[in-house]
Amino acid sequence: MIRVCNLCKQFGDNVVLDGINLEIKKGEIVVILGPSGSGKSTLLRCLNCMEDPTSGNIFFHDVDIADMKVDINVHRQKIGMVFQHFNLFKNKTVLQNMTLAPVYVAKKKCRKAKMRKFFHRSYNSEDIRTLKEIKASAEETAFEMLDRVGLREKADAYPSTLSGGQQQRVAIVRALCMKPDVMLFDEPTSALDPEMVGEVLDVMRSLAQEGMTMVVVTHEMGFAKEVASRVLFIDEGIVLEDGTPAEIFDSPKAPRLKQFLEKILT
Amino acid sequence: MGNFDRKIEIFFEYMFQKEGYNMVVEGLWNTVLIAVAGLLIGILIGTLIAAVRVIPKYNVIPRILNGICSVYVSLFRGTPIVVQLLLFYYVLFPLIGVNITSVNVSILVFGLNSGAYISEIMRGGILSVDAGQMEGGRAMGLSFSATMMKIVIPQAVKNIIPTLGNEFIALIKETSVVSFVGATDLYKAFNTAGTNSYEFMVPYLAMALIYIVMVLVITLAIKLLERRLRKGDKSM
Repeated sequence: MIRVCNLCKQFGDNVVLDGINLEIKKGEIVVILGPSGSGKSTLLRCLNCMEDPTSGNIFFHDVDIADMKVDINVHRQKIGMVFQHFNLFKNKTVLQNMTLAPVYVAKKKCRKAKMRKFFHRSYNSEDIRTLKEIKASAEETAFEMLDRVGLREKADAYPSTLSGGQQQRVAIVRALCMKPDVMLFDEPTSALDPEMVGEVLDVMRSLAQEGMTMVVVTHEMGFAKEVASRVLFIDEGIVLEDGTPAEIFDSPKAPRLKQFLEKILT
Repeated sequence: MGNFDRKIEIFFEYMFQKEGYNMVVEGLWNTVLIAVAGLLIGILIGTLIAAVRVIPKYNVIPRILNGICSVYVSLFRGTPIVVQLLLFYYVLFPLIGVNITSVNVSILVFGLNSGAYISEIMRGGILSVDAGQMEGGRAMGLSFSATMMKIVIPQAVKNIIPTLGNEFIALIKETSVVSFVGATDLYKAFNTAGTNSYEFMVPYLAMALIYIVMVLVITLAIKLLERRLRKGDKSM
């Protein structure tokens, strides 16, 4: 689903990613580990081009999205992302947060289809809907999603009135409203109070069970061991080790990884 | 104070028996019109410039646009508004052969001028919005401009309402220079009243009073507006 070829990223003279090669298949749950400053967050952010790679290619459904000519927005709609600091829209309610992008995309599709219809070109008749229908269906999906994280009664609340855990759960389902093919998690629990970490991990766990393709940068070793189908260890911009959780945690080979695990698990 | 009483008498006599109030009403209307229309044009231009100036500058086109905008801002901030008024009214429009009333020129110049100032206010407001808001929007597949319009600018506007109010107050007082191009504003009206009644003290006092009242009203309106916007922030 995602194939990364020889990805390099520099900030000025600072080489953060140094030739990453990676393939993520459908249904895989990839956890990326690494010490701070190792480039794991940068790698994740490169996957949907939030950071533009310095060189290399990123293929998403066999389209090179690192190419500047590609309309990245279209592809990002199918790559959900969850941030460390939630990044919910502060001027919108929970429901508006969740419907904004789906409505925007549907409206755009509708306009396009109408144009094609006008010029007697082939178009998808399902795309032509009234604004009311678009909004209604977006809200329906949003409520379904809110139900699944038990936050339906918060639909009209503003993000600032929610707890960190609630905000992050909303952020996850907000991304799900776009029906993405893959979800990227950038340290989703690092900014949370310890007691709220569980509720967010539960949502991620259930998502994993449904077969969602996930790429997770996290420090939650328990989550990595239990849920991951594959673990990457990154240090100084290169993938040092790539294997199943059992391989990584029980028989680490790279000395740097051994050192890292010792520090974290004690 | 017997002398002062007489002056007040002369003023009211001029205002109401000789119908001097007509000019004052016209002047007040023009002052408010120029300030309000100027502010609206200014907000429009300022927002546009600010949005252009925060576009990431990887490509050539944003760079050129950014260059144009910064030249615009330095031109309009670098010359006094009186000079701009004179240049537009006596140089630019005659050169291109367009006939335009002095009030309309004033509206245009005040709009263009406050646009330059508001663009910097707005840019500050946009930069004050957490960068995560833009990232959140972009990550969902919204374009830069859509995220800007729907997410970032609404939050920026809320942050800059007090400063924007300041700009409006400055604007309403600065309109007193439009008589340079012959527009009838509050200053012109009361100055004429003074000239015609040979008595300046009371008209100028009355003028100051009207300016103060206008500014107080604006201050109150801004306060109410701000409170309403903050309320939306925390409701439920």
